[in-house]
Amino acid sequence: MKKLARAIRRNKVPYLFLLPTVVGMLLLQALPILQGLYLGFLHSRKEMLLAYLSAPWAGLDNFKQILFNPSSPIRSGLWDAVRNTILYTILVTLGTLATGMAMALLVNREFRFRAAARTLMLFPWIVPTYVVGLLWGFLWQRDVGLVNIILTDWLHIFSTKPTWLIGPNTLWAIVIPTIWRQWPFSMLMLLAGLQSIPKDVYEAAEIDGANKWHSFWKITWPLLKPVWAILILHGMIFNVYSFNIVIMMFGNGAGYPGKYGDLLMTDLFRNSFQMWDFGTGAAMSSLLMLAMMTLVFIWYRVFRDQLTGK
Amino acid sequence: MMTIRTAMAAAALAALLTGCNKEAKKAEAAETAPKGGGDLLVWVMPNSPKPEADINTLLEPFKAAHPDVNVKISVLDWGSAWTKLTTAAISGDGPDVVQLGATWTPFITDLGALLPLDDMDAELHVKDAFLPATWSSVKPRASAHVTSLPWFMDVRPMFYRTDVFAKAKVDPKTVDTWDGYLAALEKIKALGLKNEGEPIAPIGFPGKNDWNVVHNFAPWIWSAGGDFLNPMGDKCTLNSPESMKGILFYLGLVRKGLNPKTNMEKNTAQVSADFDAGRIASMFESTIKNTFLERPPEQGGSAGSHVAGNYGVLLPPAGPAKRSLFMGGSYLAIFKSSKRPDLAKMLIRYMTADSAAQLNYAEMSGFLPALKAAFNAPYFTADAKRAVFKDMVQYGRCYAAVPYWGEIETSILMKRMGNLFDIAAEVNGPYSEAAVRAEVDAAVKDIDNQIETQFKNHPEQRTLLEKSMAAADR
Repeated sequence: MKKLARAIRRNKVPYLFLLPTVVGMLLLQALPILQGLYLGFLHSRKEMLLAYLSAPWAGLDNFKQILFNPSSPIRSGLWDAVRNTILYTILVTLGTLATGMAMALLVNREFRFRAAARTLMLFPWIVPTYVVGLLWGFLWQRDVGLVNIILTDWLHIFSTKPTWLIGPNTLWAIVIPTIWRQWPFSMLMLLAGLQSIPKDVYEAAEIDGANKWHSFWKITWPLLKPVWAILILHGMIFNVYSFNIVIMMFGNGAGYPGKYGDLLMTDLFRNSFQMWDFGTGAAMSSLLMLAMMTLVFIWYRVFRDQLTGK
Repeated sequence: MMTIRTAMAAAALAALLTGCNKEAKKAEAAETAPKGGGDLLVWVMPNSPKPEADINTLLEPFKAAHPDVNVKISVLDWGSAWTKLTTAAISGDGPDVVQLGATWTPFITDLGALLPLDDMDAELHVKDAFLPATWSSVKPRASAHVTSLPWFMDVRPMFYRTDVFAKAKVDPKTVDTWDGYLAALEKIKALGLKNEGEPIAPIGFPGKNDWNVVHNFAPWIWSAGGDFLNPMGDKCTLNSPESMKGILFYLGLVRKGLNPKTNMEKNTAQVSADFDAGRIASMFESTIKNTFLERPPEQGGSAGSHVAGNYGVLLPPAGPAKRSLFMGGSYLAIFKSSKRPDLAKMLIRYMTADSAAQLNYAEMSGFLPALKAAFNAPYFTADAKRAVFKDMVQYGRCYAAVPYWGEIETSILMKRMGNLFDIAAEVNGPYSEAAVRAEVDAAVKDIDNQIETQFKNHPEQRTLLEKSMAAADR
């Protein structure tokens, strides 16, 4: 403590500049998180909304309802949402990275109108997520949707038009638009990573007889690992908390995305804002946050060497 | 010629009487108005093509009679209205007058945010003056007070293509029972008519990605003699034999190929657009559809199109038990936080109990008046289609006005009934009645759990419901 006080005295000006950020983070992040955690231990339902944090103490009851009471209303469809969220996060993260990598390699090459191509490729990323949800809701329509027209009428990949917005295909109906929305961000990050690799490394490898494939696996891949690490973390967090695309695609918040389309966030939304059970909703959010912290810890252990440059 | 002359004379007389009536009402309103004016903030939703302008037009006579009252209209989007209303109800910082959806009144009443309007009930005799189905929302079961007044109602008649019915040799009069309805749809299917190379579907019902999932199931369940909750409102009865009969009949329309499986992924607007494009021969839609089909394209309608020139309107068929139809709508209430409750009461008295205002807004919005007297106008009696709407309101019914209905409808039933469409469309495997029953049983379990949780937190609500039951029995 004394050391900290001494350090602050010595570096008054830098700490003064840091102060607004610290205050901002405390007010806008730390306090709401703490309130959310506390809410999970309260019986906060519609009739107690005005009481807010003075709602009756529930202890661990909300957590018990989620984890150990199969007949609790919050448990209805919860495991479907958990399964879908895991699959959705893995598929979207992998799909985004693969597409982003391929496109980054493509636009890293010299060709005419490269700058224009790079700018145009960012287009999906600037479309708001709720618009993506609405737009793809139309594209997936069985009879008149563009996806089925292309796949069935033009390319003849399917003999009959598949249904995308109901049944097991729903998972693909939410995964693909999310990849479409997110890959430009991965491309941008990987492109920046590619451009930071000195050209002489490739030239030296070429002199040593390495072909393109060898250069990719022995130079590009390992040197891009820190970027991969960041993108995996970003994808993991962003996709677990995904909401807009799914809620908009299925009836603008009206419908139920179904057994194969419901995610943890849409499930949580229904329980908190349609069932008016904020206590259980907050408890579920706390559990999710705990799971995410564990995941981030594992992520750090896996990528520690790449991130610290060891 | 004689008929036209008679009609013109009648119209002139009606205009004269309405004019006199308006003048008399103005004078009466001015006499009874509370002293002093002030601002009144009113929250409404977009109920008509030009929401704010239409309300201002509606309020012109009121403003003329009360020049000191400054009515400020704020139009809320339907999607965000619920959050804004509940926030206002909880924080106590809201407008003076609010529009509430039919199923919202019990919830907002339960929050204790609405001003009791028992004095207005005594003055206007709400139960007799307004459509009978509105009473349950006006005075929710667990409430001791009247807390809102009905503003306009929403029923869903059957819109059908007259040319397709004629080609299929279907007499619309036979579509009066479930059997007659099925026979008509089968005939249309057998005819195999096409529109731009695609078969014309006999009926179009939207699927699960829609606000109307529960509203679309309700008439079939009620008309079969079933219900969502028992009369007391403390147990779910969705798996009773009668309710199951209604559910299976409705799903049967998909199973028999009368309602295409592809509709299961569409919402009401998309199915309605299919009707306009000639892809389906009939559908159940709100009465605003009629206004759309009558309006010229420059006003956002489709008058002049092939479908607009070849459609009719029918009363939905009666089920094996009775004819019982879903009736939605909107109500007007006053927040307790209003600083001008007397002015607010004057405003909602004008909007709900003034026959001319009710009729005027029905014409603008396409919805139906809530005031019985407004249906006596030629607008309803002299037009064949609107005469059907007038008939429909007597069969209208609302959901149980219990404070927990909102959670049951939006969270449990939307999900479980959405799953029923998945079963009907066979997306998870072959269809079976056992699968339908299992899903309905799961819905019943969820709903009973929800009600149990509600009563655990609010034991007094069970007592209030029991009292309400006893009063109804008396």
